[in-house]
Amino acid sequence: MKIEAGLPEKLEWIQHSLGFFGPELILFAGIVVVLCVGIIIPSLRAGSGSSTPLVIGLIASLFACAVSLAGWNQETEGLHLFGGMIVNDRFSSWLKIICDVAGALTFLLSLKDQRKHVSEYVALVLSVLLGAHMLSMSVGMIMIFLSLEMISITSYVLAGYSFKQEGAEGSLKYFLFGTASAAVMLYGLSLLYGITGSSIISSQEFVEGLLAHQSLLLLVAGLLALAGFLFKMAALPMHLWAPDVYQAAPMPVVALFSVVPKLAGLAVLTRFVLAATAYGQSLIDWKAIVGLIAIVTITAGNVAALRQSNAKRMMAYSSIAQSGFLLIGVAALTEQSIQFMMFYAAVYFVANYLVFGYLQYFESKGVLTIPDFAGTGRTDPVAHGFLLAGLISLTGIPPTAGFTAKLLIFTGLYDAYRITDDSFLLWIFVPGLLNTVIALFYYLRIPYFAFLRDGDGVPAKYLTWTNFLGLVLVLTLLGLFFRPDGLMGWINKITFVL
Amino acid sequence: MSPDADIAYWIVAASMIVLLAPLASGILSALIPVRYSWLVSLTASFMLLVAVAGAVVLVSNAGLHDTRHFSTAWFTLGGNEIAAGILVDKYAAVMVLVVTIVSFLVHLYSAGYMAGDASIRRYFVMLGFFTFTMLGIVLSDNLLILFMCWELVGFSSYMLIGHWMELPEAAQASRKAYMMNRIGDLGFIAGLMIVYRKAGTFDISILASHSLQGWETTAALCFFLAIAAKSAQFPLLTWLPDAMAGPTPVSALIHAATMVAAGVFLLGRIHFMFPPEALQVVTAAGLLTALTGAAAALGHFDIKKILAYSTVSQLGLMVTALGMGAKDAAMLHLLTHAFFKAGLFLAAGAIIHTLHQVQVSTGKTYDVQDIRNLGGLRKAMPVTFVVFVLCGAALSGIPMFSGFQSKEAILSHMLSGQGEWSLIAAFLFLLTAFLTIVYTFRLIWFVFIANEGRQWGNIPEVPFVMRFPMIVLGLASLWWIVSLNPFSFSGWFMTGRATGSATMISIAVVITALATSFLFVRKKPTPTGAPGILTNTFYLDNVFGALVTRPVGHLSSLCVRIDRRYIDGILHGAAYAQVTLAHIVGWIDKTIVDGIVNFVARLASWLGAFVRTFQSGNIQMYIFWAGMGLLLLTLYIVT
Repeated sequence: MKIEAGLPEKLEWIQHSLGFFGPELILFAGIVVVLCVGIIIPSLRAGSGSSTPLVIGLIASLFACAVSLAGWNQETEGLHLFGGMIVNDRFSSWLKIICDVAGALTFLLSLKDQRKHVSEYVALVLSVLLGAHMLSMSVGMIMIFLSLEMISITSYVLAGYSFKQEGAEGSLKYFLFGTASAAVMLYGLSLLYGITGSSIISSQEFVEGLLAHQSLLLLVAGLLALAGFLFKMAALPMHLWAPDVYQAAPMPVVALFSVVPKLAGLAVLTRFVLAATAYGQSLIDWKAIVGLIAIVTITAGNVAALRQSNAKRMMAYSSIAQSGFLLIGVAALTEQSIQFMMFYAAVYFVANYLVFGYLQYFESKGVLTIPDFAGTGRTDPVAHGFLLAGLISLTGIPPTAGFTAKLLIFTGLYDAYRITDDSFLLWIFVPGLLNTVIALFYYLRIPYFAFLRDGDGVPAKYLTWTNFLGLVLVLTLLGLFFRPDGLMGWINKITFVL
Repeated sequence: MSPDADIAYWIVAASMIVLLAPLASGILSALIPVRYSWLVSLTASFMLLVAVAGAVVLVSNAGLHDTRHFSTAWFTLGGNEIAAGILVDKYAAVMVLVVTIVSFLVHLYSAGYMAGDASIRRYFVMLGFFTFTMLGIVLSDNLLILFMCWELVGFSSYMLIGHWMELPEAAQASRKAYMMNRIGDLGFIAGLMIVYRKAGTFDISILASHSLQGWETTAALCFFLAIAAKSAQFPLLTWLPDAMAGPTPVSALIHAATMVAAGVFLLGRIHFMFPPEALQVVTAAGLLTALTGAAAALGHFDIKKILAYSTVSQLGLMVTALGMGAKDAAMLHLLTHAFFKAGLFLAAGAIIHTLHQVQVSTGKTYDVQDIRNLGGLRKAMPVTFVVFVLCGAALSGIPMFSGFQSKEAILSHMLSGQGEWSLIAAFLFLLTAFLTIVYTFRLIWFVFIANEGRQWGNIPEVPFVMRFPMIVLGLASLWWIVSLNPFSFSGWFMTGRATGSATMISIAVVITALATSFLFVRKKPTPTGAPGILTNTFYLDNVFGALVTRPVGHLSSLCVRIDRRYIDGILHGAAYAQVTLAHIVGWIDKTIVDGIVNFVARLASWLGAFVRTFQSGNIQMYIFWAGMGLLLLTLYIVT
């Protein structure tokens, strides 16, 4: 491609590319501004709380989201930017929009528990968003590694933001595990570069190189590279960090971790798998590999969640299982299944934030473990009603959008099975459905304790911001169940090419 | 406007006023607030006066010699158009007058009689509604609308008999009246089906020129069933005496003058549909009813019951006359009877009303309707006495009174007929007339004349608002209502000449009967009862019980037994089978399905425990397991 061009051309190319880099530039500007504000405002410099940086972060993320939305109609097909290292298409735009809204919600949740070093906190969250933006667009190996590390390193710091010993421990574990998996991934990527001679996975050379070397080495290299992406998604076998980190990190950060890195990792994994299958010509069945990973992830996440007594830890395993459901879309790998996966991602994001929002609310009242919830349903029926809506959406029961999303993703899988007649897809299908039933048992444990067990309730107020936010999210979930066609109309515009 | 169109306009407009004024009265009574319920009697009476005025305009425009028919499309059923309209002939015109006038007088009377009643509004609502539906029967030009109104008068009758629904006998009587009328309605519906199937129309004036293709007798008998129920003809007559449990003005209006006459009116209106065989049945039923009623009236002690049986008997006479083809005579008797019987009821009501007030003031309790407790009221209530005597004389058919003329008309027709059948009918008719005089004399004697010495104290006459209708009806019982010549029935309503023998025989019967009664009751301090067969109306109710009620009861208990034994048995068997099956399924569920589920659950929790063993919290082990996982994955895929 144009990597061999001279310096003036390169500069021109960069200048041209920056025009399509609006959301990322906004996030970057947000980071700079918020750091400056942290230096200027004395109280912030002293490390005490102020909500100004959070508001700046909120504005920056919403602004980035708005710019992404504004560019929605112009991106008819993928724009290759910065010498082909980045591709800007609707697939990435959609994920960027979700990530930005997730970031905004994270700031909203953070307003409630002001912590120390707020401006740094906001800068770090914005960096995660920026990394997610870049990762969802990356097709160059260098870009993939850089943006992935950008998410990772900022996440390591954020994980320790409770400023407690267990936070520091979780953060360190995350860092060590992340470093190891990054090393593994880098090793895999370097092998792939060696095999194909191209660092850009969407390029023709890369695909041709893959087809020319259908060997065991290629398989091992590909698996090693995948490990890095699976680490970001918290999927098996790279999921081990998640429960400890989730349990130690503050709730808004957990909510962020459960959505933003996961979706960014999903984006790059999708691109990688599509390239690796070489448009169906590859001898190695990468779809089956992803399918196997998906089903093992779902099962392991669900069965491990069954016996958890800590709500956050349970949600950690839940998010592992949900990664598996998202991966089903990749395993089917048709245009429709990718679209359904995008729908699933949006619904998962809404439901997850709803649940984490209320877990934070109850955490602030001293309700940490699931038995602590006993009796709270009677004293605070509104909060528990909304929480229940989020949980049954995650389970996939009508009348919530979670049902629609699961239905669609399995529909996509079944359609792919009918088109390709690949019996392996059917093998994913059955345990996938069975797992939905298992999920019911742990998701409904909180409502079970809250409504059916006797215990001391918590004092409740109904007119709170949490309930307002919860109402909006619940209405979204219900609305997407009854009228999914509006959102699907948008998503149907996503044409997925490399 | 041409004279004809002008007349048509006036007739339709007057008909609408006549129909809608009573309805408006009913609606107005419902709308007036409870606090002002005394207003109801004023507005209702006024609206009925409007209706009377409308009736006068209607009759003066329609005249008595033409039949006028106005019809408009009502709705279309398939390809058949059902019309609605009014049909005014001589009989309808007279009937409209009778209904509106009597209804107006009864409304007026009720203002006094019902004053202070707790549910006076409901009373006037139903009274207005009844008058509306009764006029609907009279004016309707087709059998369908007539049937609807027929049902509705039955309903208002039910409501008014049961006006004092807290009294068990009133509730019982209203139910009985309604049930017996339902039997008749069955006949009406069957008749309607035959008529529509065979002639394709409900229009009475069109039906007159249509043949029913062999179904004439059946249709006629079906309709006669309805007529018999409504006009209390044998054997469906026992509801009418029981209906006396309602307020007395209601008895005067509905159960003497108008509603019970509706059957006679319908019989006159569809007389053309009755072939000779059917008319023989009609005549027989009428004669039987007339005799039964008159005989039963002799045996009772309750004023209102006696009058009710008298009504049954007189209706029987009208039906007999129609059965023998004397349409004019029958309708004339309907007209005169409406006035004098309404007068009798209102006078009886005056006695009841007054004595009730006396009871309340003196604290004594006795049955004020029982003639054994009465006597010597002549001095105490002179106006009531005079009215009672005038109307009673008309009922008895004494010369100079209207009843004499109408009965003479019927008798003349009978005597001019051919064959023994006519003679037998005439004989039975005279026997009825004889009995009528006897029971009327007995009634007047024991209520007003016997026991002169009984101290009633200072009894007030009823107020003027009640006296006025009584006086009007008393005057309407005189001869001039029929004809200026007191010995001729040939007047404005009908023409004809009485056969000389009829007049002579009538007068002879009257004299004999009066003499007999006088000899019979003289020196008797209290009336004697009659044999049980009379007081029990020939055990008709028992016969009904044996023939209808008990078989139906048996049938229903048989059904219950069949239901219990077989249907329930099958159901129980099915239920047992289901329960057994459920147990089997439950066992399978518990041991096999639950077993599998428990196994899966245990497997899942075991798996969970297994997965969580990696979660030791030791980061070195995490990385080791992740590496092992990758290795395993690679190995699995490669092999």
